[in-house]
Parts: sequence; structure tokens; C-alpha cells
Amino acid sequence: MSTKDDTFVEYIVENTENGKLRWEPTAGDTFMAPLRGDHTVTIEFNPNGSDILSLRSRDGNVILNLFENQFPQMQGLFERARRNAYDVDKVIDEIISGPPLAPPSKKDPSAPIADEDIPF
Amino acid sequence: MINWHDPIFVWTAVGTVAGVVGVFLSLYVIRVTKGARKAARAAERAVQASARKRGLVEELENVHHKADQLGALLQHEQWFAVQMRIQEISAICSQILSRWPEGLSVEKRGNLTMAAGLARSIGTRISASEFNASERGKLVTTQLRLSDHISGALGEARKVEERTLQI
Repeated sequence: MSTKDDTFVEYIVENTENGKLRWEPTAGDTFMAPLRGDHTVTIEFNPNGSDILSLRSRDGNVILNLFENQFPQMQGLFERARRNAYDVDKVIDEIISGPPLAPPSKKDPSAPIADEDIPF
Repeated sequence: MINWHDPIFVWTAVGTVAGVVGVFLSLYVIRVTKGARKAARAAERAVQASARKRGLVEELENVHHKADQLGALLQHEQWFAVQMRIQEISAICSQILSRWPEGLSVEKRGNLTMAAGLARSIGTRISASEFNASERGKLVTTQLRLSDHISGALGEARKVEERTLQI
């Protein structure tokens, strides 16, 4: 562990929070974001332990692995990356600002089918 | 003494004037030649730049085509061919980034790096274990996003090429 690693984690956390880093889901259980053209950063959820933040070269080689238990700033980063990747805040805003929800139909399901129930 | 009736004087004067005119003509010709050479060099540079850009566009078209093929192969569950395409996409993206370091903006270079990373994530996922329909859908979504990233880079490269050709 070095202070550089700390600085790197803080950089990632800060840019995730302010939305400057654009995370994307991969085909696996990780999220990935581009860093200055030639590198990527991935965050991997580990259900049995510490989440892993990896810095990768453009060839996909891991050049730095950082673990959540060593860097408390990383706590919750996976969830923040997910929120960022799926634009969760925007989705919630759209849902809340949309038209009010219509009340559910109170029609008795056991009632016989009428002509107006058939759309053709 | 000036004597315009003396043929020797007249011919000397004519010769002198012709010499001076010749010097100016030579200077003019040298200047025009230099300008032409400069213009020719500029044109050559423009053609070379255009050829380099065209190479970049062609390579991006090639990798874009392979990304589309990857989608079809995923749909048909041709896993061996999928792995082959992933290796090709990853290698071509890496080559483009090395060969044309100035050819794309930082953002579009990031798009290519992401495309290669997403392709590799598909490869890792399909080699890991069996997967259900939902996970198969995730593979297809990932392929579509990697294709989008390559399209973004291709769009920028085409735009730059068109501008270069207009100049």
C-alpha cells in the first residue's frame, strides 16, 4: 500500500460521485470505466470478502489490485458504480416526476367476461 | 561617354540591361519554384495524412464488422467462434491504439479500450460456466455496447478524414 494508491482510490471515488467517471456493466459481475484513453478501472463485487478495484492496461492486464478491506474509502464503491452505470438517480427522477399512478382496476376477477373486455 | 550611335556602346548597354533583367527573372523564377515546391510538399503531407486516416478508418470498419459478427455468433451460441472473434477484436483495438496514437481523441481512445475490455469480459463469462437466459441476454447487451463504442470511434475517424480530404 502506498499513498499513491490512496490518492488513486480517492480519485476514483470522487469522480464516481460527481459522475465524471462513466461506469458500465460488463458481461460478468463487474463494472468498468475508461481512464484517460488507454486504461480502464474495474470494480468487482466479492460476496465472500473484499470488493476489488483493478487498474488495467489497454491489453486488459491488471496493473494494480486494491482491496476494500485495505481502503475504507472504497466502501460502497461497487453500489455507487452500479448507480452511475444505470443512471439510477435519473430513473428515479423520471418515475417521481411522471404522471400519478392510476389506481388498480377493481373489477371482480370471477365476473363473467363482457363484450367490452374483448379488444377485437 | 554615352554615344547611342556607337554600336559597341549600344550592344554593351543592351547586354547590361538584359543581364539585369535576367537576374530579376531568375530571382522571380526561383521564388515561384520555391512556392511551387512548398505547395507540392503541403499537398504531399495532406495526402499522407489522408492515407494514414484512411488506414485508421479501414481498421475501425474492420473491427466494427467483427463486433457485428460477434453479435450473430452469440445469438447462435457458436462459443468457439465467439472466443476467436473476441481475441481478434481485442488485438485490433490494441493495434489501433498503438499505431495511431494521435488519430483519435482521448474520449474515443477510451471507447476502444472499453470495447476491448467488454469483449474480454464476454470471453471470461462464457468460458467460466453454464449460464441461463438472463445471463445470455447480458452477453448480448454487452456486445451491443461494445459495438456502440467502436461506432463512436469510427464516426470520429470518418469525420476527421472527410475534413482532411476537403482541405
